[in-house]
Amino acid sequence: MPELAKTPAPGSSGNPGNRAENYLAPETLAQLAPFELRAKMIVEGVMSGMHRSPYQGMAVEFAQHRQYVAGDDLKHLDWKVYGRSDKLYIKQYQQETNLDVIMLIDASASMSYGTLGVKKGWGGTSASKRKNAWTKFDHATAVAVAVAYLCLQQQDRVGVAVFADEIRAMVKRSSSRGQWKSIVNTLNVQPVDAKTNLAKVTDQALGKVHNRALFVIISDFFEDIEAVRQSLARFRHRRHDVILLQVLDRQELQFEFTQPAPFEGMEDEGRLKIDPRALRRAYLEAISSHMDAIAKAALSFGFDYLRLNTHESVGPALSYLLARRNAQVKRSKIG
Amino acid sequence: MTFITAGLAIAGLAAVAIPILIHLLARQRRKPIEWAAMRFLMEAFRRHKRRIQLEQVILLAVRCLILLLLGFALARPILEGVGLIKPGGSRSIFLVIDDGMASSLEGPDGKTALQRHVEQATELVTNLAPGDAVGIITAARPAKALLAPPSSDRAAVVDILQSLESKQSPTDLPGAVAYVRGVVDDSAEAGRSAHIYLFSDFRAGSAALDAPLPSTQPKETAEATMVASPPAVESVSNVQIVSIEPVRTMVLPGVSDGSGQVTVRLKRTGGQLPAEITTVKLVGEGLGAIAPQVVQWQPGQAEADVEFMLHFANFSQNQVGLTASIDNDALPADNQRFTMLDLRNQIRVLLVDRRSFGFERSLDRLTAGQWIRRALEPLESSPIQIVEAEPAALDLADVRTADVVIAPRADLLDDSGWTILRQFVDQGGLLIVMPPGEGNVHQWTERMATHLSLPWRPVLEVVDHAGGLTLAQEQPGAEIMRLISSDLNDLARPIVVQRTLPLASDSDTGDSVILLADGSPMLVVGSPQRPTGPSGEQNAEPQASAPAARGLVAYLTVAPELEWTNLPTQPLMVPLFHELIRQGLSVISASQRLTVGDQPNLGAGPAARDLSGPDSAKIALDQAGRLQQPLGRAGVYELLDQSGQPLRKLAVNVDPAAGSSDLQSPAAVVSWLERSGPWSTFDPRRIAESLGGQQMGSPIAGILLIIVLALVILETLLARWFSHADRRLDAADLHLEFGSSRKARLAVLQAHAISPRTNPDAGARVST
Repeated sequence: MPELAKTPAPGSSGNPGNRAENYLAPETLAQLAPFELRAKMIVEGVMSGMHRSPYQGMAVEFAQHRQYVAGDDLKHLDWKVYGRSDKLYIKQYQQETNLDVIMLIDASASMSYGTLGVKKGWGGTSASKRKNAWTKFDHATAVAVAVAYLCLQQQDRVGVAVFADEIRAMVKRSSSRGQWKSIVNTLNVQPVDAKTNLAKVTDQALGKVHNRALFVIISDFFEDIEAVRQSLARFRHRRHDVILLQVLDRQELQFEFTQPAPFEGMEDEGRLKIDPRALRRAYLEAISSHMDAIAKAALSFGFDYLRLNTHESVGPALSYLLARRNAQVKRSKIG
Repeated sequence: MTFITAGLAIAGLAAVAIPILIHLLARQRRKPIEWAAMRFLMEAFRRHKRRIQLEQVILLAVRCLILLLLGFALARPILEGVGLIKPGGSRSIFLVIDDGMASSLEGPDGKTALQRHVEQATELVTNLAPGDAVGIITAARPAKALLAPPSSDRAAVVDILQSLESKQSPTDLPGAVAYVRGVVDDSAEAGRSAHIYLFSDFRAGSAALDAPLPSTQPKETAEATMVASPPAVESVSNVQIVSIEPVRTMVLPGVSDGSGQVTVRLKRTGGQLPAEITTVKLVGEGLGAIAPQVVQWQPGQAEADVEFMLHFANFSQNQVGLTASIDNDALPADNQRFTMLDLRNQIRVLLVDRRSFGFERSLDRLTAGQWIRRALEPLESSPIQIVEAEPAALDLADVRTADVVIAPRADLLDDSGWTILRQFVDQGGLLIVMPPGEGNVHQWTERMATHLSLPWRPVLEVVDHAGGLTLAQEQPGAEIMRLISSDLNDLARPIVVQRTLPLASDSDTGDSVILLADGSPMLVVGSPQRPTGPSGEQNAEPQASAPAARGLVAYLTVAPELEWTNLPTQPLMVPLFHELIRQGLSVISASQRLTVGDQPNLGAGPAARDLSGPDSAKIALDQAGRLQQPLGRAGVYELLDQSGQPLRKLAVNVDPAAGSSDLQSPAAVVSWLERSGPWSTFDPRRIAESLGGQQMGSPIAGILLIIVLALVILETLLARWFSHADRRLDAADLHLEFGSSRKARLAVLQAHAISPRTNPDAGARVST
């Protein structure tokens, strides 16, 4: 991830922590450029865009044939098929619409953990400034602004909600030019100090979105797996698409402490005096099991799941995600 | 189980606390780590809590055990009474060290005899086998065990040896050997062979060869070898003050009778006696500066007397302490000597006689009491004050202030009167008894014998000497008559005795002062041999070790009346009674010579409670007046009453014989030793080899070290195992790291149209 902020955009000035360019290193943009963010599912759109619309009619992209029935408009009759087979078929087209992307970014206290040292010139949030480390929340915001930038590039509407025990801040969906900077400014000032309550946040988010949309949930998902599953079920029930981006620190994935020490939970879980070497295997098994459960839950609802390491760049991971989604869309078209 | 060096065992025990402390301190000092994924850590902890705690306890126990056993191993333990493992050594070494006064004699090498003995003993101890035990007995009177039963703690033994100092008391080798014998018997019962090492120079001051050693043969079951250091062969000259002898120890300051003369007697020992000069100093409280005297020793001269003349005018105190000293030499302890002089303005004489009420008979009818009064008060200014008391009504108040009691009518004394007189004598009084002039049968002598317990006893019936009996031409020269001894024969010549009440034939007449021509005593002195009981009655059973009373009883076998003898009218009468009183009191005073190392009965009466030494250390007296511990050093002591007020002063001196540096023939010494057992001598330069070089290591220590080594290896393995370093889990094994899937990596690379071979850096990690 360091390279994200190493090379600010040309012409940038002022406080680097508050500048949107700090979150978009050229490498990240370069790796994202060949892809387009497409909703795997058909979404509603009110603007002309690159995504398939469930409303078929006068759109330019052919969708399918169906047999003519009385009352159909004859201008949609496919004369070529009639000439070859003497059968009346109506051509149906699919309208391309805009995509609504809503990013839910976890700002609970556990997201303020990080072990990667912050270097001069890096951007960052209030969490990284307080702890002088690249936290999971920093990484989440970096991913969020990258996705937002990409979406805005293809005229999609993007909104952001920062949550912990509830939605703490929100940037309404928009595809305007200033939207991206609004998102960046909002993320920069969010406190990262409360407990997580994903169920409540899900309720609040779904209450605000009435059309189908793509939700990108960026969190460490240190929640009960049942709570996560129930939240995903509710998204699925409302026919939304969800991408789960699980952000973890390398130390959380490797647990390479060597000296006995007291460990204190960041969300008031209490204190534990342990020899970390003695517990490493059991810990890794526990967190591995949890991550597998998250991934399986996402797959069971047909959602995408991606794990991100705060010590690594955003670009390759997102590139992989976009590539995978494009491939899925193409397969569905062919099918 | 015991340890040769118990200190290391204790250190090992204490070291067990180290890992515990480290564990506790380490727990306390760690700074908490903030951790986001706490739920997974707590879940892991819940699942493995018991296992982790068990691992920690096992590891801590192993570490504590290592330190404990290491300490025990280094302390070289000895298992006794456990049949499985025999101790490395099974000998008891008894070191008998001569630390008496002679041991402070400095040899030509500048070391005292004791220092040499300690060095030899230390070398012996440091070369003993680990299982050997060592006991230490010191031979200075009273002999005592500094370390018994024997100890295997080598360091403690050496510490005790290094702390030894020469005492001022005489060496008591017989006492020490007798003491060792008892300890050796105890050792034999414990199944250990005994080895006795006797360290002494065997000079005349240390070993009196005329006093036999007790048998050192232990019980039949015991095995004992006895080795002594070789007798000293280097001549070392030692000048000592043998005595301070005032003419009278009771001085009447106003009387010019030559009693200010003091003789300091010196003696040289050590074999070769070269010509040398010794300066003698005499110091007395309130006597001002006394000019030192110089003794010019001639080669071979062994003894010398130095006279000092003191003037006792205008003295207010009752006692004067005299200190004589000479130049420092090879043996400092006997270069100083102390004595006390009693100062009196008057001598109070209690005449226990029937009162005459001023009635004076003719000269040939005068009673003994009247003759004695005339003899003691020849002048108005006599320093002797006579007080009379009725024999039948004698009470304690009468005798309390008296120095001398004269009983010419002993027949009138009842039992209570004799009891009072006995107490008077016990507390240092002089009692002069003589037969009454009346009667032929004297049953009072039985009461006297019963109450006074003297070594002699008058008979019941008077013996008439028809034609008279003269005194012996040669008088024995008793101490009491010392000042008139030169004239005594002439004075005794005109004395004729017609009647006597002699002593019984079984009496001990060794202390006769004046003898009759038939060899029987006319005047004899003696001290009671048994103390009175608490109620004033004599003890029913004689106690052989009971000290004699401080006082003296003089018995005149002749009543000083003209029917018995012409003594009252002869010139001898006055000096006889004056000297009997004056010198008798001096002898009593001089008999209180206290010697370092003794534990005497001071006979000081019930008022005395403590004896305060020159170093202000107090020695308590028991109810009988006996010191509760031996006198430790020479000097002037103070007898204190119950309120801590001084009653009187006492001079305590070293025994001059104990400081003799005279060499003794090695053959004579060996012969003397061999009479008590199979003694042999060791070579001081090869003392370490004298035990036969049994240098066995303690097998327990070796076994413990092996166990410690095994535990160290076990600890290493356990620590590694419990730290899980050997089972280090790669996070990739659990698919926790990004890019662990090659398929995912390839998908990204294909999307970028990049070959992994040409741009391996592009293979960034992505998740599956």
